[in-house]
Amino acid sequence: MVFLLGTVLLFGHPTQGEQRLGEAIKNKLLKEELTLARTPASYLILDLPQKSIRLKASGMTLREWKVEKIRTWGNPASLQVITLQKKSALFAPKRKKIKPGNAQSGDTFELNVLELKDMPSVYVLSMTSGLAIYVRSGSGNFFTKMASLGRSLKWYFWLPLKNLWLKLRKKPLACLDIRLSSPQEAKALYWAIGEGFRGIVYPKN
Amino acid sequence: MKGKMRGLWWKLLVGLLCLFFSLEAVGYVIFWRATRSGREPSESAILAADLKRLALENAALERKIQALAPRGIYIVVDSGNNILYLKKGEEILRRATVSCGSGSILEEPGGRRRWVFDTPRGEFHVKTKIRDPYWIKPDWAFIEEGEEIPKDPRERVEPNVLGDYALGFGDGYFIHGTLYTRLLGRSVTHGCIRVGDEDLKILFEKASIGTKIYIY
Repeated sequence: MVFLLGTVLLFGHPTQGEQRLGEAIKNKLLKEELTLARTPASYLILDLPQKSIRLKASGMTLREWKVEKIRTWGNPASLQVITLQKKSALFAPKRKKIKPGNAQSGDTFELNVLELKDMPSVYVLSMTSGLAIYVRSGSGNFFTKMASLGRSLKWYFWLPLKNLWLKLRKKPLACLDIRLSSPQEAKALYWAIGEGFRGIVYPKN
Repeated sequence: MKGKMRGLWWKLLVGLLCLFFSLEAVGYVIFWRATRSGREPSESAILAADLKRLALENAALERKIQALAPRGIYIVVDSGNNILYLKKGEEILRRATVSCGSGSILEEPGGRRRWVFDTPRGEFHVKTKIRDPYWIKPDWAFIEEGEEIPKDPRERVEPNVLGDYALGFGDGYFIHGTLYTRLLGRSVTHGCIRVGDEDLKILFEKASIGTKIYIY
């Protein structure tokens, strides 16, 4: 009993130094969020401790994605606003082109449009800080599962070597692997954010 | 001779595997060390900061962020799912199935101009409220139909296609009615947000000039 209590006292609570660090990080990020919330653009909060991604505007959450699993390589939190530089996917959606003079109307036309269902559910978000966010979903069809397996192999075998290579070149490696609950959730996230979108990553405690 | 060669191959394979796993291990050690030491801000800055003061400042910052949210009625549009919410605080006053931009591209023959039919994203506000709106057909509408762009502006006016009401939110974008109600829920528009008649009437009544619109 005494041993248990001692363990809780020693390891169960953060020390004052850790609390200060936590509050200082939060302070820095809240100041960054305040500047984002004052702009007319939406922004993203990637909250690693809460395992959630929040799409916000004017300080208000418009949409939230619950994250099932998070894996990290390096230090993903740069404690400043980061911008989405590129969205990449194996099968990236392509915009349809309208042929002038071929406009269809009435009841019998085929819709030739870009919709949520056309978005990929496995993709990479490259941020300006050098952070790469790998997004995938827990369930899905055979191809989604294979892509997810490939991602895991890359994560455990390729990234350590890349980490070593970048260390030798004195460049940091920061990767986040995020698993969302369903392909629909992953597609909705892909849809909601575009290149130039800004956000903040709240680091793990 | 064959046995010797086989032994050599085995040694080479084992050697390569050892090298691979050693490099992997070094990669993991670098990762482990980076996660332990890569935290900002610097220790000295943190030590100097008072914990109580920081906690109070953080609470004040959170209040400031929350205070930016609209106080009255506002509109949220989920363009991926084609759903519009009329909200007040956290309460949803009305949920409407709508049609947003198709994301298609139209290029003018000759390649001089190009249009991307997306519904704009971000924060907007209601700038105009119009009853019985007329559609002033822009150039792309004629190009899309393969027609010549008219010189007389009167030829651009088309009544009875935008429903009974329209709420403008800038740059020629409107929340308006539609003749194609069976396409509500699909992404088919040129960027405007099409709403069914009943929902549009309620939106028009509740929203006023300045009402915030959030589109994602």
